[in-house]
Amino acid sequence: MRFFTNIICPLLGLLLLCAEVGLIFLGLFRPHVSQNYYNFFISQQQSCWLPDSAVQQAESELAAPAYNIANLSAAARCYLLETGWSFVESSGVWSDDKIAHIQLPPSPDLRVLQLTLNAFAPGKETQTVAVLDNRHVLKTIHVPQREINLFQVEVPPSVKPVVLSFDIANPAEPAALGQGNDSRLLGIQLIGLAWVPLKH
Amino acid sequence: MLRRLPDEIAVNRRSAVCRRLSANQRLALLILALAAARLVLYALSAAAAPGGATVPLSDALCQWDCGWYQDIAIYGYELSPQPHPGPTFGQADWPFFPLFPLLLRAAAALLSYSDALSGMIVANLCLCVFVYVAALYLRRMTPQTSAPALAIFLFCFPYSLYLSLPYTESLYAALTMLSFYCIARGNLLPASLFAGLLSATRVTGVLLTPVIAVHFLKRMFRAWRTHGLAGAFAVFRAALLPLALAPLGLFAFMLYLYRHVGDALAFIHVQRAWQRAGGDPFTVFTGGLFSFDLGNAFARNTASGTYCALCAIAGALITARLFSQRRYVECWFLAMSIILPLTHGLPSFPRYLFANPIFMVFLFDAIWSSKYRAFFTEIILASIFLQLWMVQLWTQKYAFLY
Repeated sequence: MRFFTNIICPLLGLLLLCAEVGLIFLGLFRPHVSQNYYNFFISQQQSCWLPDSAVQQAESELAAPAYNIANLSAAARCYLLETGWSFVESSGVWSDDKIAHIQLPPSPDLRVLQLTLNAFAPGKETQTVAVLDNRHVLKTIHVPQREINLFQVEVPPSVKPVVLSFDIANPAEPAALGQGNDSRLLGIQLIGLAWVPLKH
Repeated sequence: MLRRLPDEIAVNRRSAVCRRLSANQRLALLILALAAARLVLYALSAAAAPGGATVPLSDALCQWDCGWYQDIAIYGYELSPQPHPGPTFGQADWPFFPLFPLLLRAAAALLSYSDALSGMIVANLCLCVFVYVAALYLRRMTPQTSAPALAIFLFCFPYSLYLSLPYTESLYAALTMLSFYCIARGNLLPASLFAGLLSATRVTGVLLTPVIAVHFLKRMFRAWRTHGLAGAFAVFRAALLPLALAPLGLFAFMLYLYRHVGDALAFIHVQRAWQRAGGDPFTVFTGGLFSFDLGNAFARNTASGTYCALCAIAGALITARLFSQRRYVECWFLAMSIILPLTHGLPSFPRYLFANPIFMVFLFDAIWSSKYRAFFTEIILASIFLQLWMVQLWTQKYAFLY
């Protein structure tokens, strides 16, 4: 009995404590989950939940020749509007950060993406936006405000989803400028996307 | 010799029976009688609610989170969050800890009743255990208290409604009280066993681990002063197993989640799908307090931030009283039981606070040891009516009871 209480019980306790510390380590640093789960639930980079089962549906929707953001399904919006965007309105979606990202389905071929954009650029005629792919500037565009504008960007081939970043030069809060009570950091409004044939 | 009247004989027989029963046995009988009376009143109250006459009591009381517990008991935990758009899109049942659904499953298998009825039976048995142990505990801490009065108060307190529902509240209350009672008696190994079960009931169950650790530290210090380093080491050796057991329920659940969904902290991470506006507790509290929406306190579809913040103030008052009485263990437990839910926002806060066993027991203590004791009967009568009114609103899914 003494052997049990003096040796076995403390050893068992020590083993359990070590296992518990190990579990904390696993919980904090070694989650074994899908990328979508990680982005939404753990790192909270993604603003919406995209189940793995909906990825294929979203990718096929986003591979369509042309579409408006407002008409996309919840899964496709979630896939496309990765971070830096506000809520989707009937006219499109406004950026709500200095940098906003969109995620496009993978394709082995070079593609041309046509962006339909509007801008908020108080005190200026245009909003300057650098379009980047993995920190490489693909194009710098100047989006006139309160107009619907079309811009074309070449999207490089990739076997993984392509993330394009929009680095907005001068985003601003309308509320801070005395223009209503909208406190979002507005820069550009993404209205629609289209894939246009590549000109050789 | 005068003939005794039949009534007199009956009274004498009753008092003879009472004399044969110990005080604890009489308390147990009182608790069973109160539990039965309460369920009868619930049945009448639920039947009086709109459309309530056609639904069995167990089904009428199974609202809000009750469905989650039933689903876990029947189907086990989900593998991934809800993939289909709808009100539960992105949600999963992982924030609901496993001990209550396990008991529910066992009760349903043993009794062959419906899950709703089995849940109610488990909850009410736990309620009886809670009230009995709470009376023993308070009598130990405050000898001048009245155990029957405490039992009556606990059954009549409006928010103790949750302790009869198929929710974790009654199991949590029973295990908390058992742990506190064992700690008060100095039995730290049983206390840590109950704490281990408590941590498998709700995440706040781990709050008892530091309490047990502090008690062992105190013992180590005493042993060091009387028997030197060897004595302190002996206490340290004896503390290892209880300290590992106290949070074991939580860690077992974490291990299960890691193997089941790949994320040991899924029970925290998945909270995001409920879109609760949490944050630092003080900001959440002030945000609620100054939302000035007390008019919605008992609204059907929305909860009142001001009402929830006022509840937090009531909790803070009882916590301060415990601190002033140097009941540091209870003070810590109640304070953390207020602060932790606030980090997840205000919804459900009144339930977390008012159905907290320490809050209820020491609210009674505050009333019983003050001048308000003179109004105890009035308080109980008002509480009964309030509770029955809340039962009716519960069956109709009023948001403030969520």
